[in-house]
Amino acid sequence: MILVTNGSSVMVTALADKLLIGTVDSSRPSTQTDCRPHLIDHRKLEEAYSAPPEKTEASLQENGQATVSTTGKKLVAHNSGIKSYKPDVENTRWISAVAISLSGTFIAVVDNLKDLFVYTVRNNSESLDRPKLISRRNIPKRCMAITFTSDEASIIVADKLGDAYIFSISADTAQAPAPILGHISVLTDVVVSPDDRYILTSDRDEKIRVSHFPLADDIQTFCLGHTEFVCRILIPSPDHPVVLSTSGDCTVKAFNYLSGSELTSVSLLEEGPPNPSPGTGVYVNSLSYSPAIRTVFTSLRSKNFVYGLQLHVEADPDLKVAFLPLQKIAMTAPVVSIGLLGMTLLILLEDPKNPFTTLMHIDQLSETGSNLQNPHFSGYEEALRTVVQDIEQSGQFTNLFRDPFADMFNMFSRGSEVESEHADTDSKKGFRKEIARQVSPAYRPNTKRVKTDVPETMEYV
Amino acid sequence: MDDVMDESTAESAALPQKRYFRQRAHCNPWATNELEHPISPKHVDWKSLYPAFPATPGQVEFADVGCGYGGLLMNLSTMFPDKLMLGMEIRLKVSDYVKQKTEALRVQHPGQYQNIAIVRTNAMKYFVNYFQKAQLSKMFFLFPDPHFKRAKLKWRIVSPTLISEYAFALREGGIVYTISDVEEVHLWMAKHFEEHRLFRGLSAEEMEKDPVVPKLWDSTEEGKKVTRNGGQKFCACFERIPSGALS
Repeated sequence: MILVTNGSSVMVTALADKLLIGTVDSSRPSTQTDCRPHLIDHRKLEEAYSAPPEKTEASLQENGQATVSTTGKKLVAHNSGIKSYKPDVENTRWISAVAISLSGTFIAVVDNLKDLFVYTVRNNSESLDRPKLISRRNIPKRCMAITFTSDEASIIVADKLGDAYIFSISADTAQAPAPILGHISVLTDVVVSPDDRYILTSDRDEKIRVSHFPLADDIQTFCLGHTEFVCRILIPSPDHPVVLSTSGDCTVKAFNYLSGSELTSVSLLEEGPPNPSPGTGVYVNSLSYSPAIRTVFTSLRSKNFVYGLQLHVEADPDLKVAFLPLQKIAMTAPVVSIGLLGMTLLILLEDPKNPFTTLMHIDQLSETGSNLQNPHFSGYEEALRTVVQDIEQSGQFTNLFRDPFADMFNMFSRGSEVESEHADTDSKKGFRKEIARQVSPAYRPNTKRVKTDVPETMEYV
Repeated sequence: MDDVMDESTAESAALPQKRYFRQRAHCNPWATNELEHPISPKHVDWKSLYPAFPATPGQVEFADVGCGYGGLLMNLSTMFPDKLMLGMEIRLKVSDYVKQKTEALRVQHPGQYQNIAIVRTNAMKYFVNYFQKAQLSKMFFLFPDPHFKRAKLKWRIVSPTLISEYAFALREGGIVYTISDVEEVHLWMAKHFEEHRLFRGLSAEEMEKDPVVPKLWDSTEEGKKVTRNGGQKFCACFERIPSGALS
């Protein structure tokens, strides 16, 4: 499940193959205007569209790199690229990334069947009754993140093989474009600077690459500092070259994206080392920024808290950033994703009965007292609950709250001096032993040697 | 006592023998295995790599990517005694060999070979963890692994993605030296470097004037093997042009 907003007027919750778009009249404060939900069900698309989507020449077969998911063997439309795993899963659509343009006019959606949809909710500054589909096309590889450029003319798609592609909003070309930049790792997020001069991409190898835009083969710098995969990046304000990033090492860091230097860092874990042991599934998953009160809201996956951090930026004489001590607000269930609409914080929870909640008046949140929900979102909440229950009842998706970053941890510990023998992957003997260890006992060959020459009992007659 | 001391220093100064350090040539650089890598160039312990120099981040000038048994580094060390050079090799045994040989050479020839060092790392993934922007003046790709199969093409050390990273680490006017005995690999590297905006190919005259080019042919283990087998070698060099020079 994914929750994305443009900060002021449009929000989208994507779950399974459905989109629940909520529009808010941004000219009025969010405490006084209702959020209108619109449901778009991609399962119905096959009947509505008679023409097949434009298949591009570059959409070749997946490489078939298998990874074992932490949710177990039943990989229902898992995004790891296993195409031939289960025949009934092949055609199941699962939305993997959503982006909204800054003004809230366009919404772009990508799913695991490599379709890119672009919707619009506005027509010449007039809100439409229903979101309208502008274009639908096929992209070469599955992707983890998409974003709009600030001029809202193009979409950047960041795929699982490390490449980023640029598409225009309307489908005018049938051929897939060449990638504008690449990493040697899965790309986790992509962001374009507000002046459209730089593109920032983050990957599983703890790097954030800042490249010029649109000629992205010229790299400006790398923001290095995280010790686990980088999960989300966000540029809070157009006035300073600062980028915020979250990661599997449970920290939120701020970097200067022109020089690459790390400005500040805060860990969201109270106790223990900065790197929790991999497999615990704890990482910082969401990042939202409210310019009105200059606060960053974030959450830890698998924990029941929403964190608020105040952001202070000083530009004279050198760029300095500080996070003030954080506020921790408890929720009723683990937090999946958060977003902001004006002064209301929207939260997706891992609870099928109550998947959605809101916090009103984000400038007056308290840790101990009770915080008000925004009643104008009750219509949206009801619609979302219905959708979740429909999906659960249909039984088509076994794990609605599947975590896309669960198997991204890099599984190594820093500071260990001892070089384990398994680190040498070139040694064939160790490699085979490693594979044998991973396979379940049912498949292991019976290596018991039966001694036939020595009799079991020695009988002295 | 003196005899014992001499013996031990003689032992430690004896050059390691390659036959004890043989290892399979191919490996998968995309696999995320437990290779330790520095968080950034500032986190590397440069002093332990180059003890005789006041090593700070940003001092290394030459990088040999996939240096194998270190033949080129040893050769260039005496040619450029005050330039720091770093070799990067992913195979454990081979990088151990180079480490031991460097230490032995430093003992045998006091004052020399202090400017070369090796790190065991995956240069495809962690190249930028070692080098800052516009730091290097020369880069070497000697006899890189061809990875012929279509599915393995992304394992090649030269690809548009990686050339952008090499352009980031190289200073303007820095030179990339490539050589291979497989013509297809040579054409692949030449094509990708030529197509990249930030590189231009050096002409034959420029390559003749460069004193480093003759060293590429027979310095390394791989180069000597190709000569023994009577194979052909193909060399190409490229210069990093300024970004501002383009529109």
